[in-house]
Amino acid sequence: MLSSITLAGLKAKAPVKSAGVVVGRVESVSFSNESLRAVVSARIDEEFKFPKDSSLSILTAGLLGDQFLGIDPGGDVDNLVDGDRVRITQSAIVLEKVIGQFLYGKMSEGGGN
Amino acid sequence: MKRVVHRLFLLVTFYLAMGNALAQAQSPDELVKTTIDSIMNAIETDEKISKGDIATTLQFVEARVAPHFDFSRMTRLAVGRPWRQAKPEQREALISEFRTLLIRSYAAAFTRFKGIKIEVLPLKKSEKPEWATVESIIRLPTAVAQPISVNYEMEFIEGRWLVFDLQIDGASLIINNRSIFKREIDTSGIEGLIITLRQKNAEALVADQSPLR
Repeated sequence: MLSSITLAGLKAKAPVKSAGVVVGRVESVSFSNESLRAVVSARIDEEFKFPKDSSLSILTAGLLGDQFLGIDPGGDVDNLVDGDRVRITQSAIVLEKVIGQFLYGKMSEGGGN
Repeated sequence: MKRVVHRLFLLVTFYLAMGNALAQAQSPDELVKTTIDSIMNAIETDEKISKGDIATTLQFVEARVAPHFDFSRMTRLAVGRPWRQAKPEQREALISEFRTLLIRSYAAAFTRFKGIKIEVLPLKKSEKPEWATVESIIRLPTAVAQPISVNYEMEFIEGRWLVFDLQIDGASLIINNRSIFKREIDTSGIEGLIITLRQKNAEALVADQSPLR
């Protein structure tokens, strides 16, 4: 299963979790020269079936914990099979960026008034 | 055997036809660019829209922006697993309310787009010809503010490119709505979600005191 997203610190062997339960592992994290985006491959344990339109997000355990891949089941009748690519993805929330936006946001608000 | 050959032939013509339609259609990045240009132009030049007249803005969004979005797919994706259990009339209601909500919140934010600069980045190669991710960068008028990235996830369906998800600075519209919808469905079911969406839309209607259409 593949997906292209911006990563922060996701590493191979990181868990794939759904509703808090480990359902698989990240196999590799690479960069595609064609799409110029990050590509994450993950393996889901065979016993777990996820619909084709399931979504993937990069999540962090706690505020500063390790990163893992969260899979959220969709509503499709067909399930994901080997080699499928997930298109509904969410990048890691980069804390520095959020803080930066908040600070700059406050600054421009203050400047405007 | 003959039958197999026939099927194969049908398949080939189907792919050829699709390839043709793909080649003839406006490219997805061009489509995003022309749509954004028409929005920015309307904000600059249309007196009512630039003053924040919600009825005129809604009309504009319905006519120029909404046709490029696949609202039924977006709703199905945002509802996720419970969609399978939803009755046909519940599905209809969900699609219509979610569509209204998205269009209204977009139209309501229109006046805030004044002065922003949007750059659509060159299209990168995708895995399948009928898939595209169009990337854009929004630069805010204040010099210190960091640019915001907006990605449009699109698919070529029935002869046109349609958007089914947006990523704003990496955050997916579908994934965020999925978690909000999930909470609602867990506590009060699909019917509860429909009621909440209806209430939200009705409140917005009162807030801007203008008819929906």
